[in-house]
Amino acid sequence: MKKIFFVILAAIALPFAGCKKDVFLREKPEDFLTIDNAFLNAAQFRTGLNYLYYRLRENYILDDGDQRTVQFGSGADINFSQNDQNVWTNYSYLNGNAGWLKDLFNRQFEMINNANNILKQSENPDVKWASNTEKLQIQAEARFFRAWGYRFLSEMWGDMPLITEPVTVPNLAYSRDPREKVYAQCVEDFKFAAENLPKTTSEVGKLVSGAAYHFLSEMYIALADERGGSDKSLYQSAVDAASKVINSGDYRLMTTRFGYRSSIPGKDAFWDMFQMTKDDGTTNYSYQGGNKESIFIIHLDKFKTGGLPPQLSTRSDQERQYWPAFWGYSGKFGYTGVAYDWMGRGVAWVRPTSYFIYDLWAKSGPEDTRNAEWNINRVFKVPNPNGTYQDLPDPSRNWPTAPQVITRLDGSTITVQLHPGDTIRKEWLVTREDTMQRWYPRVMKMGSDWHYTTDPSNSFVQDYYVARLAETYLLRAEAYLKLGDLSNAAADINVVRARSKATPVAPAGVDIDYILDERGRELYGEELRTLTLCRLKLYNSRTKRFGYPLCGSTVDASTLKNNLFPIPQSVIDANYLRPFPQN
Amino acid sequence: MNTSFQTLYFNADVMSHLSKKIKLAVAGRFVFLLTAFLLASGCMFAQQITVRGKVTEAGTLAPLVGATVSVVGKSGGTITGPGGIFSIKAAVGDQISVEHIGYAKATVPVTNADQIAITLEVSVQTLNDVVVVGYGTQKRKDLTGAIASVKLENSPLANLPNVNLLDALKGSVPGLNVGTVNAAGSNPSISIRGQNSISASNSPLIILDGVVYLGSFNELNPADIATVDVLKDASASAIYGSLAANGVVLITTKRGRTEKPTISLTTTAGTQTFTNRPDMLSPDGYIQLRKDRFAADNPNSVYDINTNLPPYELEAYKKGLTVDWVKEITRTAPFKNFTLSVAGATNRFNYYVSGEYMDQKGIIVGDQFRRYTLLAKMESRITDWLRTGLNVGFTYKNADGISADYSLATLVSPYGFKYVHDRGTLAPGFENFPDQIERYPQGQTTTSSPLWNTQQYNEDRNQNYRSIAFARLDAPWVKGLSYTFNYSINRWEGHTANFQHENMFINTMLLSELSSPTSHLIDANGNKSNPTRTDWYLNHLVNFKRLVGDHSFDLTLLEEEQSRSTNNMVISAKDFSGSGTSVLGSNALELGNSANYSVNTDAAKLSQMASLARLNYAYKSKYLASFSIRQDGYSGYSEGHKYGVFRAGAVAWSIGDEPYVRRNYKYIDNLKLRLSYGENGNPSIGAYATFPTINANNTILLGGTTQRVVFLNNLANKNLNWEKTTALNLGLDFGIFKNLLSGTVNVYNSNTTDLLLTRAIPIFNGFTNVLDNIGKVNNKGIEVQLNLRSFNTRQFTWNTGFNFWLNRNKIVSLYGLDANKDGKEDDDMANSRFIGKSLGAVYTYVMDGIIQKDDAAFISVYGGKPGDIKFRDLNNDGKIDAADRTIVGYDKPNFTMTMSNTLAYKGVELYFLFNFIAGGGKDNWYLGNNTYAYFPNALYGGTAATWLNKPYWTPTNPSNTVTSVNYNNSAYGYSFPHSRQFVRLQDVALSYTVPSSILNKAHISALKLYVSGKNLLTFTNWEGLDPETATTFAGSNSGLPTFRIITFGLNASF
Repeated sequence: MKKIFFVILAAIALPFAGCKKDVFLREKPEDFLTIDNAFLNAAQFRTGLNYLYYRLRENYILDDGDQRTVQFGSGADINFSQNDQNVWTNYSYLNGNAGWLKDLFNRQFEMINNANNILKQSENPDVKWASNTEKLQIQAEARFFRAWGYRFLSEMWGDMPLITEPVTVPNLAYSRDPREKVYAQCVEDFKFAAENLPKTTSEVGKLVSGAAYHFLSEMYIALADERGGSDKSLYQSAVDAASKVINSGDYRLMTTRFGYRSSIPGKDAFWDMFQMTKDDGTTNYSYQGGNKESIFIIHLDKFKTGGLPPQLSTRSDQERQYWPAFWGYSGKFGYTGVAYDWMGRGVAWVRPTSYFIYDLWAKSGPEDTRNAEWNINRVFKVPNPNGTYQDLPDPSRNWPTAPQVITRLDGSTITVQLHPGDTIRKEWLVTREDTMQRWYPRVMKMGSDWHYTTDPSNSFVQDYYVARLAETYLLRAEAYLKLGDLSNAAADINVVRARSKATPVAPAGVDIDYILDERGRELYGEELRTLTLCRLKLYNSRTKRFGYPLCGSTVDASTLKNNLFPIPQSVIDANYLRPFPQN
Repeated sequence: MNTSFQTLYFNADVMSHLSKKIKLAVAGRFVFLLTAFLLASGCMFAQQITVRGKVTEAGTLAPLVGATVSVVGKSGGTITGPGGIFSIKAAVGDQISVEHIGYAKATVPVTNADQIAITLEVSVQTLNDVVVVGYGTQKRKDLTGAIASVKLENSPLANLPNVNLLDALKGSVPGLNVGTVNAAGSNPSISIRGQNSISASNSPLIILDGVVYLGSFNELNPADIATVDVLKDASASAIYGSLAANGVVLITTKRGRTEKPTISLTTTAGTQTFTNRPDMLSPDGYIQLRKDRFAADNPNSVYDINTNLPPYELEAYKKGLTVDWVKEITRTAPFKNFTLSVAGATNRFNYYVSGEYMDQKGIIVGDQFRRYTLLAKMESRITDWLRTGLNVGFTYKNADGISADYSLATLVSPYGFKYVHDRGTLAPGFENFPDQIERYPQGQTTTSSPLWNTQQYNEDRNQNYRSIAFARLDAPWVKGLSYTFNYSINRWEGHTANFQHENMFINTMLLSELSSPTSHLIDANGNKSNPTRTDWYLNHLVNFKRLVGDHSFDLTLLEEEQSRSTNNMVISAKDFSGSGTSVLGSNALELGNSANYSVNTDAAKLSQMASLARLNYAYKSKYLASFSIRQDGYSGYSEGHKYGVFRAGAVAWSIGDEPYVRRNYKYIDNLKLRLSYGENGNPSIGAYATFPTINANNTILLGGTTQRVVFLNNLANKNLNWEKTTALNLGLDFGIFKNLLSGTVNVYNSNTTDLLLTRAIPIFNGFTNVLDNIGKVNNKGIEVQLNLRSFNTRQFTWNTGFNFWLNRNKIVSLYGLDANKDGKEDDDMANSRFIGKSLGAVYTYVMDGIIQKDDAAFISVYGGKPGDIKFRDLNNDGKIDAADRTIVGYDKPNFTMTMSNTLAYKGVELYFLFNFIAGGGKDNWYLGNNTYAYFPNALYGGTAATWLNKPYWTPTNPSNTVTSVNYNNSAYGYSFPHSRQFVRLQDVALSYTVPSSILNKAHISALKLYVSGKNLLTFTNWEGLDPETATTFAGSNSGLPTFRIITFGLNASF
């Protein structure tokens, strides 16, 4: 009996005797990837890099809303939101709780953290690389985005914690590293990226070495400025980096008509550069499509999966943000509240300042075609009742609008009855709504005179330039200026001006304000102007001098101190083991 | 299973053990007895004879196999064999004692008769009852922890229409909170001794027949359950370590009792209705509401029904067509249940087989639940030292269908059309669609018919296969040493599908759409999914029991492992226009547009293991102690954090057994003091929560192609660990006057630390938050259970049970943040969590009634108009703003009290239970938000929706509780918290047991007829569907009505 007992006992117990605890309790994810298996070959790394493109895109276009343009300089010298309650219009409302500011701030660190993880994993010995070049290219892309994120953060917010390794254990005690140290890291990263990225690519929207040199040039200037401007070799490095792009032979300014609408008469190459994406995906923004001025772009497409952010999947937003909403004034000057194809469908969230509309062009001279009617539409006319534009030949002239009594600013009244094609006179624009939302000069590059299915409401997609050669020239001009080489500075600026037939600037006329003005004329709505102004520590002063009066009068007393934006309060609160000083 | 099994077959061991104890107990009287014998009798030594006898169950007279028979004061004993027969050596005048699980112990004197017939009464709870304590059993009198038991078998509770086992437990165990169900077949909530966790589970661990049960309560047939034991204190539950922070519910299913197979048939049928039906405005009242609203909004205009009532409603109004929507979507719902079981026991074999069919319709149209269960249990004693058993269960559930939208039914205008053809001659063409439901009964696309969604196709089914096998070896040469092996494997398979055909999308107000619904094939969509779970559980259990002199030891050693794998795949499709038809629905999703297919597949696995040692020690059966230590391993935690150790200790002193007490306080039958301390864990996270996961859901267009975007989804916190609860329990058990009054009192204090919370971190980490173990919560409370046997005569018995429990909860710490630098930890106002206060705080404004016409002074300071709410300016700063909010109360109960009575006279038995959940008190407990009952403008009342038949503020009816019809609540978002204290006649069961004299001729051994009801009466001031669920009459938290069930039943045994 004893034997049987033990045999049975053994039979039951034996299969379990060998069971190893550690193996049994080890978790092996089966339906999701982790950092350990997400990056084991180049294709996987590219999916990780795609995220960095995805987040970078969100700095230009994410969703709909009137707060989304602060990085483009809204509220500074050349742009503003006409809503006086907007935190970047009335700066007394600005504090660390501003939602979009937090989004911008957080986004860069999310991008940096992912870049750090990619860089760390790229050194994993288990990764199967086809060649060392492949590895270096992937590292170069990751470092470009890390630098781009720190550029954004440090230019806008100053001293930042410099993190170049993946975070694996939550830390609640970060401290701020000097801005100069952060800029130096940006220089290092952009330099690595510039040296290891391909010169050109067949893939629209992908990074090339020229983009890294472009931003490297900017960061050399920033670093030199931050160190007090005495280290002239850094400015020379900025010149050299920009020259790498300018002299590469790959790029030139577009001086002649090009692209899919080049046959439309009465326009110029500058106009061609800002045409919206064609139905079939053709874009005038792309280097691959023949735009040799284009270095790095964000290409959008309504009709391809992934071609727009999921938060704004039906259109891009430039036209809504920047264009006046003259179409929406039901019953005034023949407009009916219906947006027809040529009108676009602006909602006037961002309006150019008077400084942009008048002073900049007065300073530039009447020859400048960037201010020509086809590039900045200043003359508004009464439309046909069927919505077609006023320039079409007659019968339409027989349709008068209902008589309208207008009280002019001086109190006198005038009755106007108009016909299609009549010009709307400035003296009739007497209300705040008229001038702030309805009829202000329309910067044509921010929208389109045609739309898919001729319906402007959700049928517009336009790309963004992240780096364009004209800006590279202006960066090099800034470096030359800071080296004291005014003639070369003027020469670079004049390359840009020449394309638009503007009269050349004399070397003696070049100073930082002139360069900022020229950037405004050339790069309106393109450059992240807030970053530029904060980098140059001119945000507050230019806002006061040239901005919308409410912006100018509130900016100094606000939380926007030392040309730096306030750190998001949630970040300060969460970093509770160590004080994180507010700007 | 192993537990009850052990108890049965333990008896051989227990026998000697027991007789020794009895010997001890009577040792004191030995001298007295000896003297008495010497004096009273000339006979020094009684003649030993062989006593033969038969043990049967009282009432049915079915033989009982496996009952323990012993001679009082002597060692040794025997077990009844086939036919309940035994033989034992004894002397005339000796007392023979017979014990059997589930029966009251009987003692009979030995006479000269050569056959003794002993009948055992089915027991109510006694101290000798066996209590399942986890990995074994103990007698109630030997317990050191706070364990409550509920006996369902042969109890009045079994006569109640319990769809769910928890329904039967509700109110029976102090400290066990069971919620209310309001949908067919749904599971009530369950918690023990307050809320320990904020974000992790608060559900107790369920052990079914000795193994961890992962299924749902509604997959069990309540008729299969014999007893339920609830481990409430930490020392008792600590043997389940990491799983047991919220208590443990041990369920033991029925087993065979008598040698003769018992065939039992139970059938119940009944109906369910509303407990509290909303009283909606009559059609006339609705028009008046609209007029009042118009007048309030437009003081200078006059309401003209022809222009102000929307066209559809006007059309219905002119025709006098009204719809009572609440009536349309509700019904008196039938309930049916049928259980058949066969059970029996011989000294070598025990079996129980049962099958059930249950069909419950909900009182909302479209709500239904059907269940089929099968349970088969077999246990066999192969040799004297080897026993094995197998337990197999199967459940099929079906909850298909979409319920009508109750909330909508209380909003839609009474003037409207149920069917499109109701519009009649005014709308020619519509009469051609006789069965077509009108989608927009009041002609507005924002308000759909409450019945509209019932038209979608919906499947919600699952199967559950369970099995438990065990073997037990009793080492024949080491007395008291046994080894048991349990293995359980279970499979759960779900099946859900949903389909919305093109006709779901048509605008029924347009003839063109009615005529060609195929134009909406582009919208037709559906999905299908197949979740599955496979889990297994095994343990090795070594037990050693020994009595050494006055010292009794019971040592248990355990190794256990368990694992569960879940899988799922969901496939969905949309746009069937390319196929021209969607008639095949979710069974042919491939006919959808391939561009819209979506696939999601999931797989996960979770493993656990544990080792346990437990020692129960007793000295002279008076001084009891229990110690346990358990180590748990949990796969969900990362390396280095996978193991946790949980300790417990308990001592008890049976004061009533002290000779001094025995002598001097004869009325005390039982008095025991218990003290226990234990640690438990709550596996706060599921599988893979410590992994940095990668998100791969997005795409981006790059280089002209769509490319996948992959990024880090979360910051893994590798340090995540158990939420830990440590608890102290002080208990007192007593029985006096021959247990006329008996009871238990427990007080406890528990601290839960390392609560799993989302902690804000600076974005420099790459993320703004991370899961972490940071918070602390304290619970303390008192529980009282009293049993009073008012009458206990042969003809009439009356037992009263009284339960009282009170729990106080306190947040000790949350995130450890002090952003405002006031030296005190910050509250989490967004989630209504306040340091030092109970969870469930209601943080809002204080309402001081309604602004009246003559409240000019108030209006001049604070604004507002008559009919608005008058809020209190708490900080006296002359304005009502967020700073005037305060904690006005809590949603947790103040205390709960239940009283049950069982009255029996001859064959008639009446059982009823009152449940009282108290609110109020200094801290204003048990609040619920009730916007709908006090704010007519909630949900567009008076503009597009109707309201309750209840006066609201008007200039001529200055109510002080209900606002005006156009009050705008958006500025303050006041949620109208009100008390939901209530008393409920929760259970009533009246049964009649037909005398066996009548039945014998019909070959029926027992027959019981009964009528029973649940939720028959509720007394409350809560103006909503049900106070316990805090459901309102309409609105987003309207929920569904609670059922009142009345059933008739029949229970026959053959």
